[in-house]
Amino acid sequence: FFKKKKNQFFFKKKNKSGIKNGNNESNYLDDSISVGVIFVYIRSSGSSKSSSDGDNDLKACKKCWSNPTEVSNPSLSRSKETDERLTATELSYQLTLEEVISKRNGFELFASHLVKELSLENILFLMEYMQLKHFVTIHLQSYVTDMGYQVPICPTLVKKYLSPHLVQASLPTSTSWAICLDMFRYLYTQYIVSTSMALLNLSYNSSNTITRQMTELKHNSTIHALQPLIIAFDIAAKDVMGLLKIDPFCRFQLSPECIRYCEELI
Amino acid sequence: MGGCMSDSQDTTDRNVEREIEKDKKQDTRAHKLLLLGAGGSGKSTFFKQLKAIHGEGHNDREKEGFKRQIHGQVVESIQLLIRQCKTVTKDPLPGIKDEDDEPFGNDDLDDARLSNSLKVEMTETEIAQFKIAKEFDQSCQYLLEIHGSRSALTEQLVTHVKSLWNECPAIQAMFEHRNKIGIPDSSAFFFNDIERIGRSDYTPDHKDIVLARYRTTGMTEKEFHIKDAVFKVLDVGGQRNERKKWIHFFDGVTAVLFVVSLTCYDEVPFEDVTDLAADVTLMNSMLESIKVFEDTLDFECFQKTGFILFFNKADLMQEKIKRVPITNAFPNYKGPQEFKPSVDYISKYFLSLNRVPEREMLLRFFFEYVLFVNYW
Repeated sequence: FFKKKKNQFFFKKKNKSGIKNGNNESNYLDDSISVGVIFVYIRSSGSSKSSSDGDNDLKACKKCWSNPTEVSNPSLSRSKETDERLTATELSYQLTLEEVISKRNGFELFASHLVKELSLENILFLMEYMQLKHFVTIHLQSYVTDMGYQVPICPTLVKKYLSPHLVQASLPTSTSWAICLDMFRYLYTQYIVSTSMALLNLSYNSSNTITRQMTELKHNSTIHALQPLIIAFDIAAKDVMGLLKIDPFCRFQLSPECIRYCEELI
Repeated sequence: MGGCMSDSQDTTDRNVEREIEKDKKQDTRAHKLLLLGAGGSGKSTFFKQLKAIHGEGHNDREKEGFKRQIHGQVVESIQLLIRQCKTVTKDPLPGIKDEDDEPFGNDDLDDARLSNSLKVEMTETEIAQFKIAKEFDQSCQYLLEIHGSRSALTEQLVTHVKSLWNECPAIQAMFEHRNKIGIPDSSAFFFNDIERIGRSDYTPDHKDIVLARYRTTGMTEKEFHIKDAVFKVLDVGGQRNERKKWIHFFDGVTAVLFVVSLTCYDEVPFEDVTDLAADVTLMNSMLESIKVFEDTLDFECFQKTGFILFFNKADLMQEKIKRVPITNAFPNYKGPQEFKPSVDYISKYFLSLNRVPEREMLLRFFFEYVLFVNYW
């Protein structure tokens, strides 16, 4: 269920962008859509029993957010520590965030952990930014000297939720660049602007560098703006990774879900 | 969706329902306490204290996490100190591609926040004190190249941090301005103890754990059983983006524990940290705290909720008040520059913001790692 909804989330949005972009329309990235989907995503992954009768999304979502215990898996009971469990515990010590998100089920497990803790925006930003980078790699590679920082999110997941329209090889450069710009604008309004719904916990340096780059676009929106944009967003991506590592990931490692994940790894 | 239900899912559903019922029963029994406050006020610290005293304490695995957080704090703080020194002296960062030197266009672009803050001018002699001597180039380069919060402090890293911290006057001078550049006070403690912290068999003790500073994102909750009562305490992040999430926990709150750092009246909020030129009288965390507190009091659902105000870092305040008057944040304060009258003024000011007379307001003071000293 969780997975299905998530597919919808990424697909819906990217697909929408893909189709409209084919027509070269620029304002396809309607905030309300994506914010809506984030909420749907959170709600659906949060709890399976919250009724999906099309009731006020926010209300239901709020309910689920405020009762995170409902999310935890009930089948989990504190079993006696077997040998296997002990080694799984040891393994969970040594896991790194990079290792976890580079595997498909690890990524999903960690994302659902963030849902419980209400900090999903962090990993969503990284995911969408990596999708953007993937798009750039396909269509605009020759205009970039340095692709910069890569968050090692499971590549199949990154590709999976990109609309096929966006991946097809035959886009003219001008269209690709227009799409790419729109993606940047979307990330900016969705995560960086102080009024955005999914605002990130960024330092002034990170957010200001991006703001400066985005304002610069008003004067110069040629493809030469691509490299500086990547540099600016990379700072934020590193910031977000650092935050995830230092706070939520430490709790994730202690969670029963993570131990079970390690058991499976063994 | 209904069609794909299998038997096993049915059982899971039933289990889930049972679990919800159980939770509901517990929820009605438990007192829900919400830890709120601006960024860096000490909510998570308070949470850690609670856990150490009324919870099961911190087990080895959690300590492993704290160890990483402490290491992260050490690396991040020293990097910030070096960067700020280099920025103020306009010294290029050695061997590092300086991202700020990229063609980022005009600095006079409409950056509202920058143009708002009056810059504090510095003389050349003042700038000169932040010049890191050539002999430390290698250390600076090594430390700046570390990316992110690596899990372990290597021997080499410890040596570099130690030499910079103990022998480089520029770093010390910059640390004196930590309030402007967002470096936590406790970093000095960790720098001084770098050898102990860097040992491979290092396990953080209670003091280390409480002093560790890191940003919280999202929310954690924990139940505490104190005598017969059950408390469910929620800890949240305090930065601006995190505050947008608060509204989701406001249902059925017994009391709000609002944490205020007493020393933050000359500290620049995390989201605003630029460089030494920042003017702390225009923007500081105390003003931010006041705003957050007012906003929280105004919430419809809190009109009858009790508030407990925790004034944190009283120990640091006793030192800071000797150097910095509280007029930074409270321009109308006319009393002496001393601990007791200043703290009195601050606490009365916060209490006066409450416009609902029947609402219960309690005051508590506590020190960084001495616990719950009842000041009154």
